[in-house]
Amino acid sequence: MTASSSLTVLIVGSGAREHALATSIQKSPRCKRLLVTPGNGGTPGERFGIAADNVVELVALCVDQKVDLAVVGPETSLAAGIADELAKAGIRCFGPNMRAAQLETSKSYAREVAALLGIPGPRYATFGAGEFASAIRWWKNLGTEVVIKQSGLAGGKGVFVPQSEEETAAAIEECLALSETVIEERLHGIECSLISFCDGHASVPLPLAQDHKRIGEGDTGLNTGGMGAYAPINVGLGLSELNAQFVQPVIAHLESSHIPYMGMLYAGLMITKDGPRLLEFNCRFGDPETQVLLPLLDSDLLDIMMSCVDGKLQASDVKVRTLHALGVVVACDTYPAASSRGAPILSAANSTSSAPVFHGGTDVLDNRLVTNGGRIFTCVGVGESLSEARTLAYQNAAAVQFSGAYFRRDIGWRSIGASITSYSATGVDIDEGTRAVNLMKASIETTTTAQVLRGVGAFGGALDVSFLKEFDEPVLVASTDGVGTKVELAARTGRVRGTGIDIVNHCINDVLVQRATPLFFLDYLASSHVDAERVAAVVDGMSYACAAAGCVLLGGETAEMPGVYVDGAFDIAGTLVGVAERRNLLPRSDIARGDMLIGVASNGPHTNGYSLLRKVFEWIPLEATPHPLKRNLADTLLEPHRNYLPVLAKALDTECVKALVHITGGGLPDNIPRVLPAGVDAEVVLGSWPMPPLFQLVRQLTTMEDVELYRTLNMGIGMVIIVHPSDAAKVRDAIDEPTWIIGNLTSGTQRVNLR
Amino acid sequence: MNRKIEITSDSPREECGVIAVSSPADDVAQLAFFGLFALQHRGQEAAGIAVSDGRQARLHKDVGLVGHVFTQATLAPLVGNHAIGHNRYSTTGVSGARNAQPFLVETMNGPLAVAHNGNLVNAAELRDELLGKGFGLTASSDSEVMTLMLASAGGTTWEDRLERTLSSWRGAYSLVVLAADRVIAVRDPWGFRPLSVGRLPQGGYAIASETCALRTLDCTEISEVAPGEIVTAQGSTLTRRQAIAPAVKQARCTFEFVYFSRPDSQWDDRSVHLVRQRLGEELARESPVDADVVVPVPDSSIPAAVGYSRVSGIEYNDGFIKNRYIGRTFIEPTQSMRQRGVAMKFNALSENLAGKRVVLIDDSIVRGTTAGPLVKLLRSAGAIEVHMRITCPPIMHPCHFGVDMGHDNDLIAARMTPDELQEFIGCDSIAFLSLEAMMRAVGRTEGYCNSCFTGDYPIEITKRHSKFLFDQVLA
Repeated sequence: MTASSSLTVLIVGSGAREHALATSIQKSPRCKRLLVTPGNGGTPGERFGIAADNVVELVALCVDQKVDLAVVGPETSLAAGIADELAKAGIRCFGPNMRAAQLETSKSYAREVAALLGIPGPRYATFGAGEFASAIRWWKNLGTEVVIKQSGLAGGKGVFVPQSEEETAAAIEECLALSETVIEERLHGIECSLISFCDGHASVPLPLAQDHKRIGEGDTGLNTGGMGAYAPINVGLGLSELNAQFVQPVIAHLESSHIPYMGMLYAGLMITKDGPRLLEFNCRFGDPETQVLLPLLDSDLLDIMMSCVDGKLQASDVKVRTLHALGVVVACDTYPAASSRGAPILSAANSTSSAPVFHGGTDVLDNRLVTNGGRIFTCVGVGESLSEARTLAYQNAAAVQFSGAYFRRDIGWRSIGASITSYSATGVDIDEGTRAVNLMKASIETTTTAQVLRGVGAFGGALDVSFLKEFDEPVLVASTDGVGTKVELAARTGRVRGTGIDIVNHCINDVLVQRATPLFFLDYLASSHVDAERVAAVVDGMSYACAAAGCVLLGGETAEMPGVYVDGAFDIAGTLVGVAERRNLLPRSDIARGDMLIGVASNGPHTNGYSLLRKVFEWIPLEATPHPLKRNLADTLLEPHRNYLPVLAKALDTECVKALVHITGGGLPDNIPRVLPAGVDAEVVLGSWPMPPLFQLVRQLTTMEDVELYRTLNMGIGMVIIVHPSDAAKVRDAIDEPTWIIGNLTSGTQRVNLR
Repeated sequence: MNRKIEITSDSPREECGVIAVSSPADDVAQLAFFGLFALQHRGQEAAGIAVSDGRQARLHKDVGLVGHVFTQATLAPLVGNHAIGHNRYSTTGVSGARNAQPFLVETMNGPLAVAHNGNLVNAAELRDELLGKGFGLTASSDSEVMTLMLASAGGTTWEDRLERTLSSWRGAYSLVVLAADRVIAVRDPWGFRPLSVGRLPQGGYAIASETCALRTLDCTEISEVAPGEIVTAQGSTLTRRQAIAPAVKQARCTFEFVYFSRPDSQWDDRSVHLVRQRLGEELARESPVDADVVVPVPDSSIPAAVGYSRVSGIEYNDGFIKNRYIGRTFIEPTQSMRQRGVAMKFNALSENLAGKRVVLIDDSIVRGTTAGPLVKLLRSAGAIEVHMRITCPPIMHPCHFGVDMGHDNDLIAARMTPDELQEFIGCDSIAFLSLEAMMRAVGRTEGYCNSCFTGDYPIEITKRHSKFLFDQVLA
């Protein structure tokens, strides 16, 4: 054998597999001339029109054109004995001879060899054509689901996987009517393809690939030759171990039987929970596995094949790039039942070296590319990650244009699950959540009272309310709230404890205005990513505020929601239940024209208007203290919402309070009307209370009309008390801080007028 | 019939240039005008612009150069947001305003105007079919045939109608279509003639035979209209769709690079100017000669002469000065007048030629009528040797895809061997560039039509049709 540097190579076949083989071989500097027959509309090289199973003419062509190496793709050619005939004519052929090819052509032979060599496989039995009764009996006896395989070649399609007993019986009958049939126990697990180069006594594997045999998405529908593939697939077992278990013993056995196997040996494996099992052998390159494996090959394919032909294959000959490849088959929409011939192909996408498009069923008719088969193209992507390879492959699959084009959109879908070993891979850390709960326990316990029967950690909090019997007419008052986009400021500055105080106080005030006292509080805290310390800080704020109001923190939910919240973001919502004596419920029914409005100061925006505030101060660092602020922006904006319970307790006890209004979202104009009876308006005198510096600044900075501004921010008033004019002084005295008469009620239509 | 004859040039004559504009800004007629101006070299016989304002279309066309046909007065009424334009040189039909394009017709789906660059090889059959259906024709070019076929096609949109009609057209076509509310462009699946699209700076799109016109209009995002592709421009929206499968073996016209396109145009990712320089370089490698100066036939052969000089090491200089404004003249076509015609177009610079051995670079030889006079001019100016070097192989077969080379009998390289040619022209040596070297300069091994050199036609020509067949009926 000379180390010939200019070889004439013939590739036999017409599919995308042969296109991939041709592309790889053409890259070799040793390939001087490339011939393909019958080829297709995209195969490079010189094209001849001899059919793949026309052995006589193929041999004549090889002799005529002085072919140095014939590479045979389809199993039909190999089964027809092309390797033997070429050998007789003195032409080198890469592919097993007829006897060796029996591993594929006779399923029973394959099973016998495997059994002989102790290669693990499913339990099986072979039945001759017509042996219906014994077949049915054996199947019933086995007691498991089965797979039924016709023993001859069926282009990869003579395999039936029945879904019910009826289907099984029908399939057995159908197959036995045609030929010898193998019935096998059905295995469950991950299916993959092990394809190895063989030179008669040694074998070297290519990376494991996974095929997609079904026509439909989700692996449903009829069996096909393959609708897509990707490699490598990680099944937790070493490639050389698998080769040593499934391929090498067969090669050695055949050699010693004087039927040396030279070519590609394909072992279809099922990785079950009991270990790998052999499903079948094929004696050729797989389709579409070849299309994804060859782009991963770093070595010269022609060199490898020549080494095999010369019987000198070594493991070091086969070098593989550490990349991923994924291939999508674009078929005609009648496949696998029928093929498409002669339909014009408007676009064959854009084939590049990292996204090659291999032609399968195409041809050139009248200088136009047309369809000529079932599976028309294989679009492959190669990348550093399987995700990248997938994107490239699908870009081209979508760009292919011909009438009735179909491809599966889910090639490789099982690979994601295979790489998830724990929930944390999806971004949810249950352990961290548990740690957060443990950190919280201490602060939550500060709110516990004797009434708490079950608290944190229970499915639902339980509170003993038998004290309600001491009420004449107990009324439960409940409120649920959030704190608005103040959470974004808190997350940004890292000062989150205040939001816990905010949510509780907001809710306390909401029940206070009906003259209810808080009983218990429940919270929901969600973030993109649970940070135990952060969660604990928020809950600490909640506990502090609850304890200050004599309210029990009875329970809460901490949710980790990656992808729902942006990175670093969190949100809280709270529900507070209070109790009131019915006769004390506010607002009272005697609100009337002439009543006065007493304003109680807020200590900041509380929990409303933050979208405006964040926008207005978007370009100034929060450490700044612009005039006329007395403290920096962060401190000013993050000041927690006041708890008015202690402030107004004595005022309420005067029994002179007709109504309380909590100034929250909507400001004075939208909250006061909630207590106004029909026929009454409220008139608020702007300037009748001092506007705190923050609100002055915002007013200067925006061009909003006052009406709009006062609806967005509380502008300095957190609570409004409605009293009879004669009671105003008494109520004001009962409040231990400055208050202001900010307006009164007039006749009108339940609206607020700002003057 | 008055027949104007271009007697001062022997190069193959280009058929036409087309332009289409759709823009939300309202000076589309002006944009089309400047585009046609940049494409004047593709046809100097007649010019026309059709404009649509969304409902109505208006047209102005006449014989003459773009600058003569279009004035403030004739442009003013052409108001609208969509326009197509055309520069003409004839390959079918006698010259005259009747055959000037665009063709504008009223159809049941609104106004339709069509302008075409190329040539349909089955025009005669299509014409007969139309006449058989009862259509009347007013002109003698295949462009009118295409317009009427489109107007009567079934379909809901003009793109649909185009798609249905395209498969019956065999030949070269870079076509622009004006409808009430859009312009549409389509290029034949073999890609014979160029056609590109670009985005206008003020919004909207322009489509033109050559990118030089798009760059004159300051377009960005310039790309080719792909063979078999339909591109629609509607103000600021551009839609593209592959209407017909492209030919696997493409057939771009090599002559666009050799002669026709303006040097500042780009085609197939190549600069025309650079390809011409490379043609000169290959020519120097293939057919060197001892000489003192390399001169071009201005203007088209200048880059090739530069390339020849660079590789051969022989000094480059001007040999001829061209009288740019000679235009076309009404002259009786006698031999002596033709020779005087050449002398009227060029003067030779004896200061660069006297006592020198000269290499004369010309882009091509078709009829061989001007080479001789040019060589004579050089010798009268004092050149002691004249060696002709041609930047393409001998043209031996007529073109059926949009280039006027005259009849077979006109092609001198088909009638004479190089030795006979040398004697006929009167030069000391003559060499043509080989096909391989020409394609090397272009930078491609396939995808090009070279049938005028090789006789290997990308589309089978079944019938020879006489150029004047149509004119026998209508005077």
